Amino acid sequence: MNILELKNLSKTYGKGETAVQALKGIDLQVSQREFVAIVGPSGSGKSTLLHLAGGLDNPTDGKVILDGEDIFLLNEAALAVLRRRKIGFIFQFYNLIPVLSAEENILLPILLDNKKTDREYIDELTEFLGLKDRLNHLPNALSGGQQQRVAIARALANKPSIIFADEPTGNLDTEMGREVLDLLRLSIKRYHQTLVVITHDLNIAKTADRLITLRDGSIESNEVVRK
Amino acid sequence: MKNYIQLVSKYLRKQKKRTALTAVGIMLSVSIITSIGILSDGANLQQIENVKKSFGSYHVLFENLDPEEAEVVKNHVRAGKTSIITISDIHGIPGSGRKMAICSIDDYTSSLLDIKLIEGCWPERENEIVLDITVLKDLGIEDELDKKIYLDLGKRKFEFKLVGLYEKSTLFSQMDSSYGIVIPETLKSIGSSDKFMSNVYMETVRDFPIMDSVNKIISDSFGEYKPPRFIKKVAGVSFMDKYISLNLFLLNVLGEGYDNVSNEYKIIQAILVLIVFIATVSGIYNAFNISVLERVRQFGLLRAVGTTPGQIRRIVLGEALLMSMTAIPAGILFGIGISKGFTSFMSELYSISGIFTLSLETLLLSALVSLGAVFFSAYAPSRLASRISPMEAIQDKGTVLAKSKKRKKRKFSFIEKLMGISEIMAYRNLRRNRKRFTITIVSMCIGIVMFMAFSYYIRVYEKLMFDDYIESDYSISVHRWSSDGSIGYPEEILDEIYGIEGVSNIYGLIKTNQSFLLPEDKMTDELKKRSRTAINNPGIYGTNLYLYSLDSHLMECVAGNVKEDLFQKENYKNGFPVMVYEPADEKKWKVGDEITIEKVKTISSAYGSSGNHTMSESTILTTNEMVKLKVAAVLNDAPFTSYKNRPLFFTGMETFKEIYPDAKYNSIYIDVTENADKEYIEPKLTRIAQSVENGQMISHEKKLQELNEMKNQIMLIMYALAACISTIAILNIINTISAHLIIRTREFGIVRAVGMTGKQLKKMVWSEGVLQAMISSLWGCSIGTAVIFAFYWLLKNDGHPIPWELPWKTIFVIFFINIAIGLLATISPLKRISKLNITESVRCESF
Repeated sequence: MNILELKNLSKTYGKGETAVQALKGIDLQVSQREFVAIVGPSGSGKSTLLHLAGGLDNPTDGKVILDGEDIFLLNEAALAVLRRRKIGFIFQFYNLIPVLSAEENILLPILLDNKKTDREYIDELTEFLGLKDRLNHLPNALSGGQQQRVAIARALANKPSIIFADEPTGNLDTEMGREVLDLLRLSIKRYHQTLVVITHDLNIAKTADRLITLRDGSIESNEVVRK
Repeated sequence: MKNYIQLVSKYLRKQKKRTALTAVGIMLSVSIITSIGILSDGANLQQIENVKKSFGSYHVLFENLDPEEAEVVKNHVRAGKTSIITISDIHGIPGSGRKMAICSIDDYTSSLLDIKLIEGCWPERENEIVLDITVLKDLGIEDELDKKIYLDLGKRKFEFKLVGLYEKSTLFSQMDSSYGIVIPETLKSIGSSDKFMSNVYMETVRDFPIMDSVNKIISDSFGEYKPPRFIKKVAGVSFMDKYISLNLFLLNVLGEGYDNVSNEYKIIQAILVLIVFIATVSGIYNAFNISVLERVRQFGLLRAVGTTPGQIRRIVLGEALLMSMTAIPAGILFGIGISKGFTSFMSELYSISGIFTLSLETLLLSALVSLGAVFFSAYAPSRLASRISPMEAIQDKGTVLAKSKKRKKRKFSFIEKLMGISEIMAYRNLRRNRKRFTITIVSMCIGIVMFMAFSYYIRVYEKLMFDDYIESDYSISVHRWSSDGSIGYPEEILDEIYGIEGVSNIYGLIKTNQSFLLPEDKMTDELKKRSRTAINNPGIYGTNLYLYSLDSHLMECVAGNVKEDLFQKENYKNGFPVMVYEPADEKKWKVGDEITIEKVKTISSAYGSSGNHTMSESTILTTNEMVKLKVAAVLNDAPFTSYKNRPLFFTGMETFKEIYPDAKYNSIYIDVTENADKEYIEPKLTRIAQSVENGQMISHEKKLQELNEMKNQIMLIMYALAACISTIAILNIINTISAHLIIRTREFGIVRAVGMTGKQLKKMVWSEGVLQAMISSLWGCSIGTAVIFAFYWLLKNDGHPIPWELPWKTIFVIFFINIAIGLLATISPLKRISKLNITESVRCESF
């Protein structure tokens, strides 16, 4: 069953002569629990694709169906709710909120939802990500790897159906990068989630279930790496 | 690009919005400085003009000189515009009780003494005369110009041609004689010049300090009397039969006097200006600090490619200079616009004119002060920029300039447990960068302190200006005072007033200006400056102070427990009993002290308390007899007046009549019953009031109305000035808060990316505005209260009329307005943040 469907998705930046077409009518389906890696040279439209799929930006044309729902038919508030309940984002530069502690950053999507925290799950998650003794620290007191793990925990906190990660290891050293990716892989396995990762690292890409290569805003190849 | 400094203009051009925001910040601050400069310049000029109108524009007056001496004084090298008025003998006008003299004036008289010609022209030929319009009736002359008139001057009648009529100027009205004005030749023809005396009104030359010139003229012209440095210590000096006095009212407003009374007010004004200056500096500092914080990455990159910290500093200061080049002139123009608009608004509304004046000096000074403030303010941000490490910027972790201590652990505090996540984030955001937070709070506080200080200043001013000290329905009074109480209403008039239907109560008062001879230990420095001293007895000071003589009812008003009984006749042997009020903390007077006044025998017209003694009084000073007074009580407060900075004396009516048996009431206060027929009473009282020359009836209801109108005008000026300053302060606050929000665009993008709805975002930003407003109100009101307490404390020694109380109303208004501003400030940045899509926000450079 598909958790994500992109239909004829296009995005053009600018107008007239200076218009740049970042995505040219992308069609893509991602199944539940799938680990999809997207690769491609700089400017190929990877990040744009991810942002559109996650409802962070609006397409020029096309649809994004997430969990059976056309997300661009939703109003701004409903889209925000969808983002915090069904989607988890992981950015290259962690993007933690500096005034909140690691734990508060992790709980942010739940707190925004005014939901009661599933303490057991969060404890398990933080234990699993090795953050147990770092929860009360502010982001500026954490290492890069720790900050990225907090970002991962934040993305997983609300048990989203799908996680979008934009070069999650791009800012980490090789070992830390591998460690973070292992955690992500383990996590989706344990919590039955879908993972879409943008990466430049072919070694990471090879560990995915499916590898999509983008070039000049179009899908160049879409191959299943392993079943 | 030829030089790295060109980065400055490139950046400014590229970041038009940011540049505009900073430049507007500078412009607003400059406009505060300029408008304060222009408005206070205008107010000052207005004050000088008013004083000149009331007291003349001369600096020093030499009285009772021989005509030859007058010429010597006039021709002194330090003498500027000078007018000699030579006066003949004073003669009574038959059948009227008024007195008249002939005096000659010269070309400068009308400008130095502000005498206004109502009709006709000044005398130009011999035997031409100009008369005081009020004296025509007494002389039995019809109001017709170019007619021959005959005046009886002592031994014989003289023929004159009436060519003009003048209105008594304030200065002339202090003299109780009326003057016929002629040219010097006419005066010579009517009598022998050795009987004449000359008064010389003089403005000293501009190039030297006034006091310096006055002393030089005195020592050069009257060297034989050796007046020893007197003029530095006292307001006037008498020697032989001459009298020299300063026009202290004018000198004080020109800043050449020594009026310490106004020092407290000057301190208050200086504090206000200082507050405005701090507001300006903090406004500009804010603008630059934010513009640097926004560009951390850019500066980091510049550092990475080899820019030295010094070069970075120069870039930031270069920006300051470049922005100043447009923002300062714009600010000055804006300031001129504000002041001009305000002034014309006032004049249109209330026909108050002449306040607006532009001087190159003020504009240059404003520009210089502003430029200084800009550099002073930009220096710290430039240092901050130069300290940015290349690594911090390149890593772009987003917390680059978070110089606050790394706090490792953070748990929900008690307060936070009561809040939702939006409020918690707002609260934490405020506290995360102490420095930035402090700057915002300080600039908001300054606005608040300014508002509080101004409100308080207005209240004090209002109280001082419009203190209505005797509450009664009507009063009749004579507007000429005599030292012996001989001008006024006799005792019988009281019965006549009582006889009017509807009158319920009458209180009588004799206010006289007595010449007190006080020993040095009773003299404060302040008092010395208003006194004269005789050349032959420098230890005794002659000073004019008020003596109030009260009927028994008013006596009780002075001090509840002091009754006329204290003033038993047996005391008179040892000195007439008086009560003395002395300004707080002076402690120079005690019960039993003895003092002397000079008893006068003739009508005098001492007016005011210093400097302006007329010829007739100086005549009186030489024909006196001493009266001993004994202090029977020392008072903590004095009624009937707001001017409590000098000792005031009170005595019972009976006592005063012991000294001056013929004393008459110069003020009578009348209460009427509730149902009294005012239309019946008023004409009756007016007739009684006018039975004495210069007497008038005042309906306090009407007076209160007039006073209220005047008060409203002045209050409007004050409030408009306060509003002007507050508006600029508010705009600065809005600028600061919105800039703080704009530089966190990326952070807002992230919270939206993880699912914060627009509503939650608004709530967070609003909470931030409200919290900021509440914290700054708390601080601002505390500091403001301390500042106005300091004002109160300073003014306390000056007979401060307002008792201390917490300004609750003002505090409430401040909280309300400040919260509104806090919310208002978030509107525009919120719109901007909401418009940006999340991807753009997250990509935003600053954090």
